[in-house]
Amino acid sequence: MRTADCSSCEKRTIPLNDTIKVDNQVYCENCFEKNFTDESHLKNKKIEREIDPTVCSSCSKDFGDQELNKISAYPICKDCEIKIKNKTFPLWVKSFFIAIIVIVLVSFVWNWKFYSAYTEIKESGVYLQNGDYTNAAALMQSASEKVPEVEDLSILASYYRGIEYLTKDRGADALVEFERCKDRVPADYNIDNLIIQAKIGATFDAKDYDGFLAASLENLALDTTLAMSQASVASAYACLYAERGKEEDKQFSVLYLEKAKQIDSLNEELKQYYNRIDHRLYSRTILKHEEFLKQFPNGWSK
Amino acid sequence: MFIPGEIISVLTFPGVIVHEFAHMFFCKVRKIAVFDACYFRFGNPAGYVVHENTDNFTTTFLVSMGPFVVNTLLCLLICLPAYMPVKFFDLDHPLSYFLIWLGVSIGMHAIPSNQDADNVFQQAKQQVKNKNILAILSFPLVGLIYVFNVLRIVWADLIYGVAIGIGIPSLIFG
Repeated sequence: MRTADCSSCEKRTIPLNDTIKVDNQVYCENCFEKNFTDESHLKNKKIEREIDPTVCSSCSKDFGDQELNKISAYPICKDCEIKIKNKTFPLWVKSFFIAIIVIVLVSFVWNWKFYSAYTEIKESGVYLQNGDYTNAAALMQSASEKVPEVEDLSILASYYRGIEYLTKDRGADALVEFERCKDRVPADYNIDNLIIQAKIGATFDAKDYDGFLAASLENLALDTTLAMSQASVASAYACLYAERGKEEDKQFSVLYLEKAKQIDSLNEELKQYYNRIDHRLYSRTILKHEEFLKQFPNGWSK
Repeated sequence: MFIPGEIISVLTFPGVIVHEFAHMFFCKVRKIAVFDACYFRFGNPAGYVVHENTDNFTTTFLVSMGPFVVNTLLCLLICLPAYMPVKFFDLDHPLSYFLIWLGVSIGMHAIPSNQDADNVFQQAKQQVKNKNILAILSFPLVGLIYVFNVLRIVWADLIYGVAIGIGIPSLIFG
């Protein structure tokens, strides 16, 4: 151990680590506190803390006259040097990190279904925008199965399926799906309108022509400016005429058909529809769209 | 609302542990001797790492700024799986809430302390004379750190944690 003498008091051979040098004057701790009671007394002074190179800064062991190796400015004995250089994370810190990693991995695996469902919902939206209702419905159904706790997904899947069925003239099936969605989708989803459309299809398929007429009139009440709505009523009356032979039904059919033609007589899809109604009125035969196209691929004329 | 720093440290103790871990980690990577390390305690500071000095500015920079990288990354990784069920699907999920607390706690302690910034600043002042690019870039960073630590009084640390843990997933997934 190295020692020093205090320049203020008479103390001699004070351990070097217990001294402080101020402007090259060595003080013991007592004299330092006595002479410099305030921080302002140390202003503009050079202050050095002496470090004894023969005493280990880590374990405080005295190595006599032997000067120790230093790490940074600190003399460290061989044993402490090994400990310091090999210092690693305590067991509890390692355990903490392992626990975090395990929790993160488990949560990624556990919550993967949410991310998968999210991807499917996004893809479903793209298909819907492109008019591919089949894939849109299938993806939304898959998403709802992955996240059954979110009922909205199941409702949306029904909604998309309903639209798919509607485009495939499966009115009865569409009606079942839309009834599930009623009062459970936002107003801009036009669910009431879609239900009416589905009823039109369902009643026609079921040969319930009174129901067909009622649904068509309900649809017409929503918007009288649409040629399709007028034609649908004409179609319903034509079905009733074909079934019952009442002249009144025929007249109503012709009346609504004329209204439809006045609104739009150019659209090809509508022109086919008008042609089918004309055929129905003439022949009192009710043909579905596919049957009519098969029988009269180039249209019908008297 | 003012809450003492010690209480915030207790409530977000994982962040303190990860912060000190990051310092220690980069000490190990850069082969710097560590004299003492405390990963968490009740007091101020809540944790510390005492390591040897180095003249290598890159080492000083990495050791001091380590928590920013490690804490931020971990915050994002931990909150990511929790984000979807809670924010997108609006589900009450205990595990997800726990993960969000864990992630945000860690994120809150991402910003280095003023002491860390000071270590970088003192050495950068010398290194900039050698036209060290990293030293030059570190000045605005150090300034930001000082500003951020002042703004902790208005919950800048919480805002940062939430921005990383919830904000970034929101930007990614909408």
